Amino acid sequence: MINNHPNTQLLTDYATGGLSMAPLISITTHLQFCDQCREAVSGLNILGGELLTECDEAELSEDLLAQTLAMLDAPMMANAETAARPLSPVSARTLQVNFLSTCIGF
Amino acid sequence: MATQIKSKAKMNKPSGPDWNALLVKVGSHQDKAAFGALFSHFGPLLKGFLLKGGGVEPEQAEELVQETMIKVWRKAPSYAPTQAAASTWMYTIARNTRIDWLRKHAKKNHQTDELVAEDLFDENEESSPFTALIQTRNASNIREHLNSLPQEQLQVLTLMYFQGKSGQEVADELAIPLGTVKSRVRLALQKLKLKISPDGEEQVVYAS
Repeated sequence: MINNHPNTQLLTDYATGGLSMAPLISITTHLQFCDQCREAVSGLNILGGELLTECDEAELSEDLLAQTLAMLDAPMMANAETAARPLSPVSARTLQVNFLSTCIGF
Repeated sequence: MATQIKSKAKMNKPSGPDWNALLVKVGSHQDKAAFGALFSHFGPLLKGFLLKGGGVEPEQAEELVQETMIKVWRKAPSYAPTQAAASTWMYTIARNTRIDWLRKHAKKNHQTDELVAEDLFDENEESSPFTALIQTRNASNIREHLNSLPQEQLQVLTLMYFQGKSGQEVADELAIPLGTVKSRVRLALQKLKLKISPDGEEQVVYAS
């Protein structure tokens, strides 16, 4: 059904977080309909996870965990912009569609 | 520069606690002890990862670690171990957190601030029906072959991942043609036995 796919470099750019907004939206949309590319991205994310796991550790401040634990009970205060924004995949998708129509609109 | 990874000796360490299971516990029981264990393991790795990328101060890296871990706590109920290993899931959340952080700091008061990375990257939708199978297969292939990648291929991959950069940005940074970066990435992915795009590498469908 889908004949055009983002190339490997674009999928890698996507997985590393290197894409700017417009191509990012294109790829996100494509992934929703394309199992093959989703499988490729899934592998690229696993690579990200492996690179993370194999990374040299950097010591954290002693109280960072305690501070973070305290924030868990007050997510609104901890991170008003992001932590208090539970978006289901469905609403995320709606938002994408809305955002896309806004983009296409102009 | 962010081109080195752990020594082989460290890569072959025996497997520790079952991080996937701990993450499930966080999601199903709001288990703070499990969260603490995950934090103590992944926190220093995340900080190391972010610092390797450069561009952030140690305090900012900790801020990002904290933000990432708070998201992990909040999103844990949607974590499915059949879809992704804890490390993969953590990676995607950290990546998205950094994207938002960079955007927030790069362009203040920009209207697209309302849109956050997690609206565009859905950790759960970045998996496929074959994920459970490929997760295990890919992870062991990657571990087996990562250290035998030619330095130039490893360098390009680690620059992209640690810095969250595109191939073009890495090409600019290394002052080499984009085509060279693309072929190094492609060769590396083939060595790691990772699936590449069904379109191969030459057709640019989504030119930016």
